[in-house]
Amino acid sequence: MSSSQQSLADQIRQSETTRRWVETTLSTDERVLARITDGIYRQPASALRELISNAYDADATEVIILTDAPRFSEIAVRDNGRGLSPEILEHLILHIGGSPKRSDYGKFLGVAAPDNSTKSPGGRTLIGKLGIGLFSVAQFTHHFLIITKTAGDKYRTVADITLGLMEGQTQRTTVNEDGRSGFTTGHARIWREHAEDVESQGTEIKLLDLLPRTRAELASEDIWTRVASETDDPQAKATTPPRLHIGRMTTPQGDVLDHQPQLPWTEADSPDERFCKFVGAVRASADTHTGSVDLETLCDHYLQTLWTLALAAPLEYFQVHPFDLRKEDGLSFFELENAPRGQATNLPISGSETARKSLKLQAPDGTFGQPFKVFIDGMRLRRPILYLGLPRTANALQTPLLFVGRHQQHFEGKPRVLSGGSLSFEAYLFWAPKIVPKQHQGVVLRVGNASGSLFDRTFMGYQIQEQQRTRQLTAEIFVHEGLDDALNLDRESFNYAHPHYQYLVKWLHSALRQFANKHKELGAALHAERVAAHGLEVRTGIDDSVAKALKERGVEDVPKVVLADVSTLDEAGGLRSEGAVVLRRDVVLPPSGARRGTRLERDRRHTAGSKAMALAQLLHGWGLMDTLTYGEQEKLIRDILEIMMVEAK
Amino acid sequence: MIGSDSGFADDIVPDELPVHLEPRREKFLPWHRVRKEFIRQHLWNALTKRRVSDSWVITRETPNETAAHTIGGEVGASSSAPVGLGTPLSCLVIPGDDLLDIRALRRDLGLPACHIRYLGFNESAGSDHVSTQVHVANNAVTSLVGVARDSRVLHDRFQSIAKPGTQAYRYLKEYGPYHVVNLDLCGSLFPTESADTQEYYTAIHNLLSYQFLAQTTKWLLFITTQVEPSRADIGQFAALCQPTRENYRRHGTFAERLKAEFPDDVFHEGTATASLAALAEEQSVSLFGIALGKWLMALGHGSEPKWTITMRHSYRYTIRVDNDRGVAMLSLAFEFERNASAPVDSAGVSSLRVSPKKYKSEAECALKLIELVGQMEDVDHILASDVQLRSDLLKSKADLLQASGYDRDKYLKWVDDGEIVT
Ligand SMILES: Nc1ncnc2c1ncn2[C@@H]1O[C@H](COP(=O)(O)OP(=O)(O)OP(=O)(O)O)[C@@H](O)[C@H]1O
Ligand SMILES: [Mg+2]
Repeated sequence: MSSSQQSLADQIRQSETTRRWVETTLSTDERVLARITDGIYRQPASALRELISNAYDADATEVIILTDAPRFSEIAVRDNGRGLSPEILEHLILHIGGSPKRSDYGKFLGVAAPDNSTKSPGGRTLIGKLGIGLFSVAQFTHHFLIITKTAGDKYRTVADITLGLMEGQTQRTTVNEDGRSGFTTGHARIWREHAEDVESQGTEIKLLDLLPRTRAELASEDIWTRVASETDDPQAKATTPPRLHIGRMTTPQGDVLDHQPQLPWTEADSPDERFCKFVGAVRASADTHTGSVDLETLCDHYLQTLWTLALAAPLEYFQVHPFDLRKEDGLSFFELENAPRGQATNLPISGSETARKSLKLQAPDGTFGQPFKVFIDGMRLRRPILYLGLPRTANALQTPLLFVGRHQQHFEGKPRVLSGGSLSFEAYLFWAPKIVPKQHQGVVLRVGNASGSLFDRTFMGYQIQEQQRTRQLTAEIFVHEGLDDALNLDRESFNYAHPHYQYLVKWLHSALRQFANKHKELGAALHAERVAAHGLEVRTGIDDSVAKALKERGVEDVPKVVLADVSTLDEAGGLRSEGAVVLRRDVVLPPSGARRGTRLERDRRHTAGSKAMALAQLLHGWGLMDTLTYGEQEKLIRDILEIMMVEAK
Repeated sequence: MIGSDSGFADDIVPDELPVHLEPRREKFLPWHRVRKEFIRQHLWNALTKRRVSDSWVITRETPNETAAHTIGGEVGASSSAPVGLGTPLSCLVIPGDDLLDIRALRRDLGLPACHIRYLGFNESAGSDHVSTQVHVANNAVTSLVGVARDSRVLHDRFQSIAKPGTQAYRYLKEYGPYHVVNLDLCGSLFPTESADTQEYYTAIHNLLSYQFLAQTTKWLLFITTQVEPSRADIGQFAALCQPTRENYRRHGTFAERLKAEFPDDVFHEGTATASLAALAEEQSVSLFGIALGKWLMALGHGSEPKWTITMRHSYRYTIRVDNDRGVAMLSLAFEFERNASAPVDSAGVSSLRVSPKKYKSEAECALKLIELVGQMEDVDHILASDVQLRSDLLKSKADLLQASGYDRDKYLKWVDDGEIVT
């Protein structure tokens, strides 16, 4: 091996002629970072997300992920970005936790733009900043390859990396060449190989020898074990496999599947068609099943992972960026006010105009400039948030609402060290009667258009009793400047004490209040309209008390309920698709011994009918019916009615 | 069960420490011999190129990206569309550790003819030495212009596709249907006592089942296999000859041709087994070629719609195994064409005149098969008698190996020293 005076990069280059690999240890100056490479922090989806982010930062236009699902014997993540020069690789290996991005050294290495270290050379806002993201692969494996090439290089560089200590090694602490003590986190063998494709560029991270627990997790072993164990027990109500799944191997080592995949797409479908069918299947399950659509029960872990990645990565929207929605898409638009007691106002946009245009919003659909496409196992991912064609419900208000806001806060007059500098962002709150899937209820914070966390259903700790309303909300905050420092190491949570985070909490809660007021206003107006339309109808006490009770609950628009004289659920379907709750009269009304047609019996059935409708309105208004099937809903109402009738006797 | 090795620990701790790769490429193997280059250029790539120039629209422009069906390439159209600009040439291959076959195919097709997308089978592609080499080679090859980046090499045996429930079979469907299937088998399709050939036949049968349903255009099947009559499993061999015997019984000319080369008894049910055992080695080699071809044709004929299978000019050579015993290798080529025809209005009610498409009959193909098996050329002879050809091949082979990271001088020396595999 070459002299230790030589830089690692030089040694790597020398392997071109010596045809010998360079052997080196991976090290970090900090114990805590040494632990990160042990993979204690992250979930499988997070590791893939980090690799996608690295490709994005390297100005790749395309990332191809091949997972070998459902076997998961090895995973490849491959991009066509700038690649790692021996110098970048040297930095990566000897300075774990010291990202060159966003530094002058990064400009020198060519991982940051020459004139702006927060941007990639291609002009993207860099996601990376810590220098540990790559090592999140420790979640998957302790053995991986980096195969990388920069354009114009006559060689590609291969690094064969193992994490953890080598056999025979017992000490973690090592002394670096410059005398500082460091912590060993792994080993690398690096060499250069002649390349025919001089002009090509890109990086492939090949994860080998996947850890059994990761394979089990990706392969949804917990779900399949449940399915299997309950079929053993004839008494138990069978747990069925998720409706959508990638299949299951009989044994992890084997090559045979005992459950063939249940997917909404086929091999013949193009990458776009596959994703379209995937999202389509999730959306469609809102029509075939009552209640909220829950990815966790609908999909196996693998498909959930795809969905999570699609939400997290800086991708184009599946349908349309919310800022590009139009009046003619059938929504109502509002602008949020940036003041503590502000009120949302109608955003006057017409026809084919968009919020983007009228408010001059910046957040890109995908990326500025060069596209960024992510393919996973032959499927092209897009951000799967739906704004159009969502299901109708019993709500009186059916028109989706889009609340848009933007803000810049320079914290003028405050010391920068305390304020964290400027914060600038754009955001929207999208309301619809039903958000599909339920995982999209909440708010996501995006720094640089990517996101590590999933939707926060608490809306950053929103206190007020607005459960019903907030379950019908999807919100995203696109942070253009600031907040970055508030991001924790795992990139999945924030330092709540950071002023930028605090500021966003306040802003969001104000936005929620503005939304709630507007929503109430619209609901009340609709209610008044209805009352006026049915003015002649004699109002019973029951109606009033339902309306009052729901209002206390924060629900303005009383669900529409129809008692129908139909016998099958299918027949009720037509009415239901118009957004009403449909109850079959003969099913919900308990029979009595009395003869039909008598006056007494008619009155009794009439009262019972009113009560059934009121019950349904209450239960729906509270959102308690969401998890039940239509049949179960009817059964519940009938059971309650029965008890009430007993007391009446 | 204290101290038991199996149990909870299995899933927690991997069995072995990972091993690193030896980066040097200095060891040369049988497929590095010059004659393999002949097979590549003059059989596989020549036929594939003809296939491509028959059907692909050749253009200087890079196909545009919006139609992208194939990932990683600039190209694509839905697989049901007629073969045209942008449709990748999809290949099922057993490409070896360096993927030389793919490199050579790309070289010989020439750019910008069409875009190659492949699915490879390589048992050694795990996490040990060789496999790292496969990973790196796959990365290099798929980085070349003209190769789809999502092409991949599976760490599976080709035979795994024999069962429809396997992961390998899922990949088969994912990457198919194929224009070229190149089965350069390390094992043997010739039934011997030691080898389990049935699995190979089942795999090929399953492959054809898939292709017949999924593919609509012409496609090529290359099979390279050892033939070792001295170790024949005669019962199995007789079974493979069944379609040939059947054809013999039913078709006079076919029978005539066979009689000219083989004893009559071979084709009679009762005497077949005994007389197969008595065949001279050369006769067995030829008969195997015919029997295999006939077996494929019978599958094509028995499917719906039918497939016409024509043998193309093929080659053979001899490899040396233990004690320098010579064993015949056959490199066979077949072309598959689906029989599909527009409806003919025999009533004459419509004014559209459709002449039904004529496909070669099974009998014609069978006669051609006997003829071509008889005409198989020996690559070793060709190379020995054509010095110029051999040196051209050597040069392109050396270029190919150099491009894949091998030491050119060492290679040339290895060839000079007699291509001895240690
Ligand atoms: N796909 C890639 N293409 C080019 N360079 C890469 C790629 N992946 C990693 N790198 C290089 O390796 C370095 C380390 O990556 P890693 O993800 O660990 O850190 P980072 O992206 O700099 O910061 P963070 O930890 O915040 O992600 C990067 O700074 C980059 O220079
Ligand atoms: Mg990173």
